[in-house]
Amino acid sequence: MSDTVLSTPAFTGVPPRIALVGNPNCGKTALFNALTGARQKVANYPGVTVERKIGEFLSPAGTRVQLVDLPGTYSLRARSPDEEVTRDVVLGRFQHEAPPDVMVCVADATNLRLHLRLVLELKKLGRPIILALNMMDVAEARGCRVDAAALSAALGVPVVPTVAIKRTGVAGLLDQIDRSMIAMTAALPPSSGTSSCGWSEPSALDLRAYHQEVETILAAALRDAGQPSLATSRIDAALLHPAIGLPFLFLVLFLMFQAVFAWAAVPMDMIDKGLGWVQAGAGAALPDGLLKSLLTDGIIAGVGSVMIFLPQILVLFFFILMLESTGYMARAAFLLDRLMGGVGLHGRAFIPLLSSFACAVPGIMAARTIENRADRLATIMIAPLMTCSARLPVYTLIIAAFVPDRTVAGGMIGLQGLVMFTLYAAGILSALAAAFVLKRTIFKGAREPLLMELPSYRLPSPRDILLGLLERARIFLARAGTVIFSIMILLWFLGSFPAAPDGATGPAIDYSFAGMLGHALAPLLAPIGFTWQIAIALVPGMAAREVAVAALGTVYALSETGDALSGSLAGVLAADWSLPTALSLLAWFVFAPQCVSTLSVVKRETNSWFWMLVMIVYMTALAYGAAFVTFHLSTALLGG
Amino acid sequence: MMENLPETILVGLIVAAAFAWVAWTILLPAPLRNRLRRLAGRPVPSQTGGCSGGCCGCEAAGPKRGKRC
Repeated sequence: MSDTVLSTPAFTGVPPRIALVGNPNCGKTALFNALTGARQKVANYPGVTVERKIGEFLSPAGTRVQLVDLPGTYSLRARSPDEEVTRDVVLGRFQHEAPPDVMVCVADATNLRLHLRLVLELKKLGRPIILALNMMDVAEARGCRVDAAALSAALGVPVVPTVAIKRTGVAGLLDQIDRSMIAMTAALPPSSGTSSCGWSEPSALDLRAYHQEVETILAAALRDAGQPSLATSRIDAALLHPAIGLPFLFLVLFLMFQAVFAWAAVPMDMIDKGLGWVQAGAGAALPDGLLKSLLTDGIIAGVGSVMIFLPQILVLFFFILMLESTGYMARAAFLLDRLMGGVGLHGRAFIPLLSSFACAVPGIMAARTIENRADRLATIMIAPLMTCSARLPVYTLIIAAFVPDRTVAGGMIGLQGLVMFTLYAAGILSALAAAFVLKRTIFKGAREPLLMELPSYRLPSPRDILLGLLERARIFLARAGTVIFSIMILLWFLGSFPAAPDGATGPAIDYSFAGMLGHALAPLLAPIGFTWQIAIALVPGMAAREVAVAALGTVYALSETGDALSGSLAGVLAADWSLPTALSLLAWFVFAPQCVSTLSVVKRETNSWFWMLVMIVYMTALAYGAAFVTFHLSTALLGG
Repeated sequence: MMENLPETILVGLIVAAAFAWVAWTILLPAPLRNRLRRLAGRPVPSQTGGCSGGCCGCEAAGPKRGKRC
């Protein structure tokens, strides 16, 4: 592509807008990435994209084009919020946004019967359309032969075969985009065609007419329908088997958490040693004073306490990315539909809940795929109970401090991995229990059946997995280098000033602003066994949960046990906390009040302060109650 | 701790910068931040929200105030 920008007369000053529209899981985002060079998330299940994403590229003719990637939809007759986003962008209903000048309709070549209905619906809008016939490689492998020229003639729109994930056909699509824009400028002014005001929802009669028209088009253009994937059918026969399916799913999840500990041990140890070396080096190089204390006790002790968990985060995401790209994720939703239905949740709630393992923010946004508002609200309210990756450092730290690193069940199962699996299971079970209560009280209503396309199994692309992991590493390091870094500097300041008075006997932090805050909160948290150091850590932990770990690192570095920190934070905690306190903190974090980002996205997705406040209150109450019971029960059973 | 003035000033500046960053990105509500951006003549980002970790959104998925016929 050219580096120079040539202006097209009709679009001088305003880049033309092209929208990628299509059914779910047909490769729109893969095409968006191929055209713009972006790295938006792609996965092999419907409902990955729930918001519009905007990028730019230069066409071969030198025109700067704005590309809008839209959530998948089967029709402009939108039924769920993600489909409404697509409908509103296509019809130009968003404020300050013109409708797209050209629509690239992406269709799965292996399932044209379903995908062409949307093309026909979009054609009615009277705006230029290009059909990207995607997944041609899979279609050809199945013996499916589509005559692109005949399809183009029958539809009356240009057709370009593509394989978006391999970037095949992108050059042809770019050429066609240029041709369509030139033809459009010659024929009519941009952004004409049917707008929001001239569009009406297709009736059942219209939909039947589209269906008949599709049959006529397919008769003219589909030379051979091919055979459905035999491998997918055979794998599904085993993995969706009523007796084998669920145990296999739980086995996969169990192995995932075992691997989080087993595979990450060596790189974590290396990072730990590296940080110890840096801390010792900085301590030796700098004279005693404020700068040395800030660097060693504040920044390195704090940020380093979190950095060490990067390998575990990457192992967790390796499994999640593998499950998503193979197509197993949609099967997991299918397998758990009965379980979800048992507590009154919609089957589609599984994807948002699973996304929440990464972060509650995309999980809550993924609830847009649920049509019914009560079901959607119930899903949003329980999504933060799923164990997000930010909790992983907290869990790992406490497990490393209090759970011995040994195997059980004849050496087959790592005890630490087993405890981690139990904590994740506790998150899932508490989410289901909360859903059960919510669906029988606030969000009453009949349960709707799960209708979901099961994608064919695909071999994961090593490139996509690697890019996904690099993106997660970048996000983690960016957060450590910005949010955590800044908060640790502030916490160091609050933990160092005012200095201890002359003749003081306790640690200096006791007399600081942070110490005062910790001691003020301590009576409130004493019934659940939390120390004043934990009280300090919980406050910045509201910014992001892993900040609590960094805060503990800084607080203990500034306290009297700081000397021991050069060994490990886990060792310091093991010496300073009782087992009931550690268990109580784990229980707290299973239900922990959410980070600020989660609360803000709840407010945005529900368009209401009310539901955000409900979430704060109910999760805080659950966390306090669970920690209280855990602390007192474990004190009674194990002793303080 | 105060005998080394240049060191104290340097640390003070680092702490002030960290406070400004936390106040701007975490503590200040987005509408206020956008208003301050407009007052300073800076463009307001079209995409808001997110978890400062790459997950950003656009419009709320709930009822919208967009133009309707």
